[in-house]
Amino acid sequence: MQIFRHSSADTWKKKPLERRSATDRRPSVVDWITGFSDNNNSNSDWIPRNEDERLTRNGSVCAVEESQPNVSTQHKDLLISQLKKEVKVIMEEAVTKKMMDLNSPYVTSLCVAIDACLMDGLRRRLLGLFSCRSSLALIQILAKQNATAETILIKTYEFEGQTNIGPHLVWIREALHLRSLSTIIHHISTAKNIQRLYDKNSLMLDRAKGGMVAALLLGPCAVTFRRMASEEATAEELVERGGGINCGSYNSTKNRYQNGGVGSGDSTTRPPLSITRQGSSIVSSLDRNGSVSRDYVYSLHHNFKTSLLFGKNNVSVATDNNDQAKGYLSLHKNYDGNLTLKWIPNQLMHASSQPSSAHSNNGEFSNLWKNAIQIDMSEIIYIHLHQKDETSPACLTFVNCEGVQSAPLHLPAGQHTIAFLSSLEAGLAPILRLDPPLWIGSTKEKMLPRLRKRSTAVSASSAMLDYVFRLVRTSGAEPSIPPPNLNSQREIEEEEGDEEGEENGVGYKKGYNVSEMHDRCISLPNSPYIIDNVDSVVNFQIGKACQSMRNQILARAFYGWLSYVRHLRTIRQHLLHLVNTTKENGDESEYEVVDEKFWKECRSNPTAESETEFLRRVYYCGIESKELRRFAWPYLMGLYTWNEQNCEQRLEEYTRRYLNDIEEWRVLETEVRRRDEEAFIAARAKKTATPLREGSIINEVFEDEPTCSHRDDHEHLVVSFMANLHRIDKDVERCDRNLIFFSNKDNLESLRRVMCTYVRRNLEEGYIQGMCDLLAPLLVVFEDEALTLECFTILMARLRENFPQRSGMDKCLSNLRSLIQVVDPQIFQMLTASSDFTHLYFSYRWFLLDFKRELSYECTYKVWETIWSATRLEITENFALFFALALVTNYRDVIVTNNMDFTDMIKFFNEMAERHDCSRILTSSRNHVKCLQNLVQNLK
Amino acid sequence: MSGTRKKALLKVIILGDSGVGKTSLMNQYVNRRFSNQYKATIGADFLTRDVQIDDRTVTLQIWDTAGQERFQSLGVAFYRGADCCVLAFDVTNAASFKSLDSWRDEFLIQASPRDPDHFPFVLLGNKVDLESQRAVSSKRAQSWCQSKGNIPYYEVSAKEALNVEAAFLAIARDALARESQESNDFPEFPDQIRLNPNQQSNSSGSGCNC
Repeated sequence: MQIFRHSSADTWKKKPLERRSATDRRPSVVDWITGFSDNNNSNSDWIPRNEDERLTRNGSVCAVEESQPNVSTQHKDLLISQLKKEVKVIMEEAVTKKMMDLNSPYVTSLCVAIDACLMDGLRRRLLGLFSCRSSLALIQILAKQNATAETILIKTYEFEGQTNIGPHLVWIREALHLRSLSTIIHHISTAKNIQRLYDKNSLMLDRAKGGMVAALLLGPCAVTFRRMASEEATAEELVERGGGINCGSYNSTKNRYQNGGVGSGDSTTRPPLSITRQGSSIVSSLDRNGSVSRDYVYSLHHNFKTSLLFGKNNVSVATDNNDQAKGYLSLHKNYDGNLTLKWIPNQLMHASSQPSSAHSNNGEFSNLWKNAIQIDMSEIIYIHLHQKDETSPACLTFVNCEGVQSAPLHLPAGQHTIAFLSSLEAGLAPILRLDPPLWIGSTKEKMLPRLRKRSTAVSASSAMLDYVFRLVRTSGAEPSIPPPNLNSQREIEEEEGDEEGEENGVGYKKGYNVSEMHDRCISLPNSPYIIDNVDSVVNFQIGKACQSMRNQILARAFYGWLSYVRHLRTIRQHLLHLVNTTKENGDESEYEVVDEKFWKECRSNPTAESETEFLRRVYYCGIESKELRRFAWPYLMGLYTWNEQNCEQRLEEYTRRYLNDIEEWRVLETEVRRRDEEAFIAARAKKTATPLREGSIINEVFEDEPTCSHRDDHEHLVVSFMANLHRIDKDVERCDRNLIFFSNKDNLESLRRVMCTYVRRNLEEGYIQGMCDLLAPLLVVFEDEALTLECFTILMARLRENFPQRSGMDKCLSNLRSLIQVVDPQIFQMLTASSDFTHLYFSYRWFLLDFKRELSYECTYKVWETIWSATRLEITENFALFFALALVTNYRDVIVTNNMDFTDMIKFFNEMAERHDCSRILTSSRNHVKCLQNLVQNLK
Repeated sequence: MSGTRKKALLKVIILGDSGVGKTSLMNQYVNRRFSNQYKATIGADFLTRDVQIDDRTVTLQIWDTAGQERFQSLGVAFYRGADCCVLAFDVTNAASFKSLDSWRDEFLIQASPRDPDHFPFVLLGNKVDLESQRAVSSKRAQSWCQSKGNIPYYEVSAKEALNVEAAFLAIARDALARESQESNDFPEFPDQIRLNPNQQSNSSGSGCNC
């Protein structure tokens, strides 16, 4: 086949740059051309064999060809530079991410580069003994004497079947994962028994460069890799990955918690770097080995970076030697919307599926690689199609914006041509389209447009079907590049005008000589049928689009209205009473923290105004220190009234009563201890007793039930107090022992005394787990048992409702449910997606203990005093609800991104305990209160 | 999630009186460590661990619950879909042994498994490192197990990691055997746990459309 370059391409090159190449031209165009010219040497399909022109275009390239000092040195340099490039990519990636996915293409291409380095100069004969002619054999040898290598080998076998990359790459990847790759490579380059496997002039034995490989890999070995999909992440990682907690932007680039997450975030968001390098790196490197070609072939498959639009085997292309080579033609749509056409000879396709033979004939392959074709469709403006008749093979030629033609592709006879063109047309949409468009036949199938032949054609071999398709923009500015080969003898169909004819005209004036212009203008009015057809197609499409938009807008409006109405109903039914709207709102910035100075002022002047001021300050900013809380909390909780003067007296009274009570239950305690001892001795006796007879098992097992024939009041009291005492002992023993305060046995004992006294006073209710947790912070603040007990009693009066067998918890859970439903419907939908768990039980502990377990002590104080002041200020009696809501919304991005369900939420919040950003959540909960207040106000 | 090679998730619930060491047992098994600073469990928590059983990887989801009987009412939220129930008692505390009956009955009521008579239970007698304070003999525990339909019994110590690993492995094995048997018996019965992700992906998928 004739290598053909059109003269017009040179002609307009001298003219001022046309519009498209000035604006649209991307760097890859240069790469594309230089890439081909570099390694195709003098046999280029794309560049004429004219050295002068080559020099003017890229003069520097010639230097490489002229001086080739030493083949192996050059090859080593190439390997090292390739490796450097890959390492650089990995390190750049690692900077932006906390951890890298082990399955990412970056890692794979790094592995390929490392493998290439290791394979250089490896004596295959020796490796052949291990029946595996790849770098895997190296690690197998190494594993016999090195424990690290052995671990890697075991891991390799473990994951070998699970990935789509070759085993010789898996071991490199696993070594990288274990961070021992650098060590292993270093070992390979230094170990005596490995060294003999290499040729003298191999890269690994090179004095200067051999160590470089290991050194280069030190960086990637420091990066944390992980298998994203298969490993579970901890709550902390989730929050970190989620870019921290935020109420604002949804960052979709974050990784999924679980595999089965929503949509396909990863595929759309991870920019595949290899795409941008395809043009140069795949075709430019002189030496290719099997792994590269295999990788290239993998890139032909449908994957997450590119989607395969069309594939056809046995498409012929003329090669250098004027003979036809058959190969695989494929059309890909890249993530950026650009189309790429690829053609690869059959031999290379097959070689890639036989890795063992890939290395044996490198020379032959490098020749074949020269023939591989890769065309970026965004550079193409014309597609020529020649076909003898509808049943004969078709010949496709692509012309790029510089007028350079591709080698003609010969598609076999049949519907392949039309199939190719229709997938091309589909792929080009919506930005570009084929001009003339393909026709839609009677049975909805695509067909070639029937165009009227121009009678003025030079040779009227009317049996030929010849088309020139132009790639034009669907709307807006159209690339106005002159068609370069109008002097071809082939019969050309009418270049029909279209709705952008005027635009075309402008373009033509720039690029054309007068005769061509003339030619154009004449042809325009000759094709009214085409214009009509195009118009109707466009009108139809626009009409369809409008219709679907209208439907969508209506649907959205309706659903929006529906959910709004539902929200209002929820608010009316459930949330109306939660907040009090009569109280005016303040702002955090207006108030200051309650400090010692302010507190002294308050005490010296306890007016109603100072009380309100105090409460507001507490609500918005809190109390400054633990010492101040000791004095302020009894007032805040309502133990003392604001203007009460004789507090000391009352405290004395409390203390006296407290001591009395202790004395009373001490008697009971002694009784309980005595019984415990007896029971224990009895149990020991039973243990050592003779084996039981078969028949009486059940009776004997529970024989030691205390038989109380006469249950008088005292007996009842002792039994009841005994049960409670045992529970208290167990819980006091393990109450916040990590706190310094409670690592002191005396403080634990005083916690126990207060708890016992409270339970003795409320024996009917008894001790319930969780009470210790509520009591502990109070004791730490007050450091006075009697005062603690009084305040605890006040606290319990409110919280008792939330304890088991009372209705408070259900109310809290259902109110939180309604709140979430109104504030964040997306979260609500996720949490209630599973019909089994409609209750938000992950918040059970929150309400039971007023968030004491969720927060550190310091934060617990802050939250508690905010809750109390909100009640006192009559802003809301349910501030805890809003804090719970803020806890959920604060992590909404993490929750949504990871598609958390009931169990995930429990795990997440249990792991996040005591790690929340308390002041931030407090601010957010105050805002929620304000929002609901406004909402309710408007509703009224 | 398809075919016979699905990844199994077994939900295991640990029940028993407060202070018998449920949290310690769970943490010893999953994290292989013991601490004397565990707080009383409020609500519920769970940990997961993967175990290899024959050629299958099974994920054990071990649920730790509050020990006080007052919180049993909460059970209905957490017991559902359990594959196995671990009853735990403290060998130094006779009372914790006595309440096993009530724990077992309560579980069967709240979890309402389809085949209560053959639901897999396991009994763990914890704190055997405190032999000098022992109040419940191994014999007595075994008799109880026999009376409940040959429940397997293990004497363990979460503190000294004694028998914990073996006990949980046996639990997983037992539950797995039961599960495969049940899936043969009732192939159409949809699994509790595995249903959730499907439903969610459906609902979130429809959410994206609007």
